[in-house]
Amino acid sequence: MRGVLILILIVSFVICFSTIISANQAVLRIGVQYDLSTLDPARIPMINDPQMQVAVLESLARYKVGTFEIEPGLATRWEPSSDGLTWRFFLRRGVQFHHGYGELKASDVAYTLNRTRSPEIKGGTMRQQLSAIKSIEAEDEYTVRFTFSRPDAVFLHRMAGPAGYIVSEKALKERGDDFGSNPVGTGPYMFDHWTTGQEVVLVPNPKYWGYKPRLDRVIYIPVSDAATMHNAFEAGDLDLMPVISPEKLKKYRKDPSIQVDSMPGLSVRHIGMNTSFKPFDDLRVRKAVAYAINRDDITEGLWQASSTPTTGFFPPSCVHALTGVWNPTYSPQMAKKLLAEAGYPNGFETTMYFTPIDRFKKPAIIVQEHLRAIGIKVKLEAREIGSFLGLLRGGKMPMFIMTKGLDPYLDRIINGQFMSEKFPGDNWTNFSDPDVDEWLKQAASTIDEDLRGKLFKKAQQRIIESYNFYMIDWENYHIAHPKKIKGFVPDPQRAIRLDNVYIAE
Amino acid sequence: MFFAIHIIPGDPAVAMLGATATQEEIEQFRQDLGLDRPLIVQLGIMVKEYARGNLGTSIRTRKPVVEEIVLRYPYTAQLAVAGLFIATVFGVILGVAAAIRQNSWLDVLVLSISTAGIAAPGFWLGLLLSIVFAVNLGWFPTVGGGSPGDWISQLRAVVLPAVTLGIGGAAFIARMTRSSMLDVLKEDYIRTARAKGVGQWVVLFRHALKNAAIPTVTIIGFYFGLFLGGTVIIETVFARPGLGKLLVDALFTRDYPIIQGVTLILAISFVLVNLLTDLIYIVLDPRIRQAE
Repeated sequence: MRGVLILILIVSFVICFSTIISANQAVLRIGVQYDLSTLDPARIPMINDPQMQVAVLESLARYKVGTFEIEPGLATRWEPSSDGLTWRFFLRRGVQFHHGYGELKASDVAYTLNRTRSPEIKGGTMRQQLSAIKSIEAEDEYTVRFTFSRPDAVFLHRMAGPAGYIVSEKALKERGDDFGSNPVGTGPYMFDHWTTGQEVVLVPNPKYWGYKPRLDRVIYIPVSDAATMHNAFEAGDLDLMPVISPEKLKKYRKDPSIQVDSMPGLSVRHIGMNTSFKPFDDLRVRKAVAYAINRDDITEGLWQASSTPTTGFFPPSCVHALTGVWNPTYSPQMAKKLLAEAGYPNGFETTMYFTPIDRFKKPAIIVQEHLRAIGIKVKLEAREIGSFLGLLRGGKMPMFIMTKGLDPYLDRIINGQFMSEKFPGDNWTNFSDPDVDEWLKQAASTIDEDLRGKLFKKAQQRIIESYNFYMIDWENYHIAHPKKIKGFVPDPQRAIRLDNVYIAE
Repeated sequence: MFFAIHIIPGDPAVAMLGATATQEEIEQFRQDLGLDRPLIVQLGIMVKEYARGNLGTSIRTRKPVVEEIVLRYPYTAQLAVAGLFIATVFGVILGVAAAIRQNSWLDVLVLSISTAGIAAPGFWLGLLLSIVFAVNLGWFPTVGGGSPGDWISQLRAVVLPAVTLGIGGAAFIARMTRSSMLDVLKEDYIRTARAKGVGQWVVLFRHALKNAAIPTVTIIGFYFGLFLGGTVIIETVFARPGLGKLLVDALFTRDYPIIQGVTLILAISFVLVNLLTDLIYIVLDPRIRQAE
């Protein structure tokens, strides 16, 4: 019996001691929703927020932290030709790849991006973004020339994002298929190891060309369940995590040891009405739905002002966004009047789809009640996200609640969501306006930003007036961390930039 | 199974590329991975590769499915073994205690606890244990499976998930053991042994439990198979990097090769466990040995 007790004591001591050893290092543990898929720049999936990527991989340009202002990255400057068909990038000298793979040269840029856009790479996710490029060549050791088959007005944004990640040509060739789980970039932190399903560990890059990394280790821990992630944060097993629940947000904001950093996000939460389903083909019916919804019940009552009510489709941080044009009025009387004019004095029945997570389920229930008050009986149908997207893109949902995670530039979303020919598929509501089609085509074919701005704004005005969408709010992005974590600035694209992040004593 | 997975709406391209992907991106992705081919062609390719021992490549990570399974299996096996240990030890002890003290307060307590244990949903129980013992008391980690090679951290990480898993099993095993023991304790040979002056513990553990164990072994074997495949919820609650979580993640991303490979491995494991259970009968029951 005594022997058993001694054994228990020794084991307990070792267990406790093993947790104390790691406390002397500056280790930042970040909760992420998904495990790493791959850091192969040609195959980076778009569902992952760029949380791990930005610490390891870099592009020719980049966004100033916390903004969409483009600044030099691996290139110090660039020169587009007047017709936009040629771009030259001048590389920063002395940038070193991780793990002794040498200096960044123009040949690495050409090789990486030619590979990213190559059809030989099966399952490539960035190829379409570089489809306007005809060729990429190293003019000399530090100059890269891009030649285009057509102008790409947002090329610089692409080179500031995941499509423009640059890695070591030598490492790509040596590591082959293993590169994605063992990447070599130029970022402030280097890949150390990945315990699949459990953690990705980065260590500082001692030769980083920019700021001096101040963390000894950065560990990304995938936790798919929101309740588990909050438990882990509250137990001190995570140091930094996104906060989605308004109740938890309120709790953390009151906690003197926790800091919550918030940033207006890019994604717009909205209700869509598919005009290929009656009676949503009638503008009066769509307007009636808009009048029937009391948006304050959602933004103030439900989310407790943790998001921003929209004033347009695209948030103000997007280039050429039109804002200040959407402020829906709550008027059930007007809604009933419009329904009667459209031939539905007693309302009608319809189905609204959503994915069964609180950010859609709760507002869906509120909207259902609002519409019931004017005679519209809404049946709520929950679908898991994979099934939901399949039905949504198939144009099979009369009504849905969804969010659209947006880019800093409009093109990708507006040219898909609002072009007539893209239904079914990218166009979820069968939005169809020949004028908008023409404006968007013109905007895509020019690099004149003033002209693009005018065309996009006209298009957005029509989109708002169509009432195919009822925009609820721009979802803000909240990150919680203990106050001892200093220097963190949240990013509108939900990347976790570690520029100057450190742990205070 | 192949057709069942493909019937579900949504596909890997949409799941991997997300809601913002354009139709061109989705079509290109499907074409690259052969997902645009007729299902029967895809099935034929899969069967041919399986015959060669190749379970395919994960759509999400581009790693071989076998590699993904080999990396995750130990965490599931650890959890299943630990859960089974807890279920068996506590289940048998409580079952025997309840049988010995039939109709006493102990018997009622065991029956009540086992009813609660069977009824309690795993997800709820796991979160409850996590909140009490990990968040509030800080005794165990909330997430993870422990560091590879570090048995201490792995031990700490498996306790709460194993208890969550084991409670339901212990509850059922306790009831089954109690029921079997009550039947066996009424047998003539038990009465004879007692009449001959054999000690209570010898009667219970050498004679009664050995014979009562046969139906209990069936349940234990069943639960082991169940634990191997049923860790999905527990591994999600505790973010444990086992096969269950791999399967859940693969379902959300429509990673067909992983779904198929993991399901196959779990099915094989279940069959092997049942085989092992049958072999244990031979050891326990001399009548079966003689018949053999």
